[in-house]
Amino acid sequence: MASQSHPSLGADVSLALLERFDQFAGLRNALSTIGEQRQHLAGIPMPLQDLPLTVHPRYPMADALMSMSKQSAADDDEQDFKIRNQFWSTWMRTTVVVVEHKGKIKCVPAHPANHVDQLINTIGASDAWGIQQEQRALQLLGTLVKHHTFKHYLLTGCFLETSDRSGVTYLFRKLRPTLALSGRTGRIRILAALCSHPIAYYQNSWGGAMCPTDDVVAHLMMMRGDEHMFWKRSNQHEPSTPQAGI
Amino acid sequence: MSTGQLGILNVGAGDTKISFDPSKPAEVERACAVVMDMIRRGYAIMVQVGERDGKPLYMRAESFDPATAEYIVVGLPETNVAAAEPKLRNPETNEPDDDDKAQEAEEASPPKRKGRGRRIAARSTHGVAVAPISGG
Repeated sequence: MASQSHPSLGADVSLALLERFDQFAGLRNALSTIGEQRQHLAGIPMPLQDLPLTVHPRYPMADALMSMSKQSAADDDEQDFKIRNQFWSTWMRTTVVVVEHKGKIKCVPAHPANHVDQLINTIGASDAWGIQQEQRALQLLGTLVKHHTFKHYLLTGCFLETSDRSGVTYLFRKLRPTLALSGRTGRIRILAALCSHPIAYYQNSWGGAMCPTDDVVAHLMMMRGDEHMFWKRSNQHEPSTPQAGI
Repeated sequence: MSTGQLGILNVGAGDTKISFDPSKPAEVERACAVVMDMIRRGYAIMVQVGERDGKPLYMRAESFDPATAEYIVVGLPETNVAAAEPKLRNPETNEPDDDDKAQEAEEASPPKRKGRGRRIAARSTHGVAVAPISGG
């Protein structure tokens, strides 16, 4: 019996040690416990400072969770800006917004300005995720795809799967929208960058409320089980925009 | 086949699993209540309904029967083939026959489609439940 209890004890000690270095572990665990008590089967998303959270309107406490991170947005509204126009800048690789402020016209890059902004925000969003949760999600993904596909994901952060229904090939990527690809004309064409997250996501980042691999599992299962709904529920980003993550 | 399991993607836990082990009726009863609750809350439940060319074939469960612990799946390939058969028309009026009219009316009303779904026993299949999705 002693040999059975040791690994479990070792795992508990390791987890406790790991969580000592993660300043958000306490809040994450508390939200998880509250979620269990209130029977929120998918848990409660963690609000983060400076990263507004968009929660699915049907999810319990959606308004309360979103209002916790709206302070900075409210501050922006107080400044009296009026949007006059907007255009795409190939040089800046972003949408430039023409605004009127105190009688003067200014051109400002839309937020996020480019990939770097989006990347930095995604690093910020990573505070919400735990290593233990990501490891469990990886184990689940390992049961859903073949070995070589799982290896692709572990080593490159992405993998391909073709839908039998539509013939569209999907490139599932960690912390990036899934790319829908077509090779019918002989060369690979990007149909759309499909971005969606279960429950919630952090605005201006590629991060969702769930850990990165859970988002990938959600995309994969939606594609396999109901491809039409996957397209319908996802935002379809233009491949050239920063949000597409290409 | 191993006991049927349903993985639920979870923010705080990575994923949690519920199982439908026939030897544990109380656990199955609780699992059925959880699945019913998820369907009511708009979760997408993807269950394996078979295999095609050696690859697992998944479909979204439209409904669930807690009395028999079965997922109800609509729109399997066999159903689509049957629905694609040409309809007979009355040669004088060029209108569909009465039976076909009734069938068309039945197809036009989505709630009735649930009754024609294929039932998949939860004890013998695996699946993943995804919480309501927002476009990012």
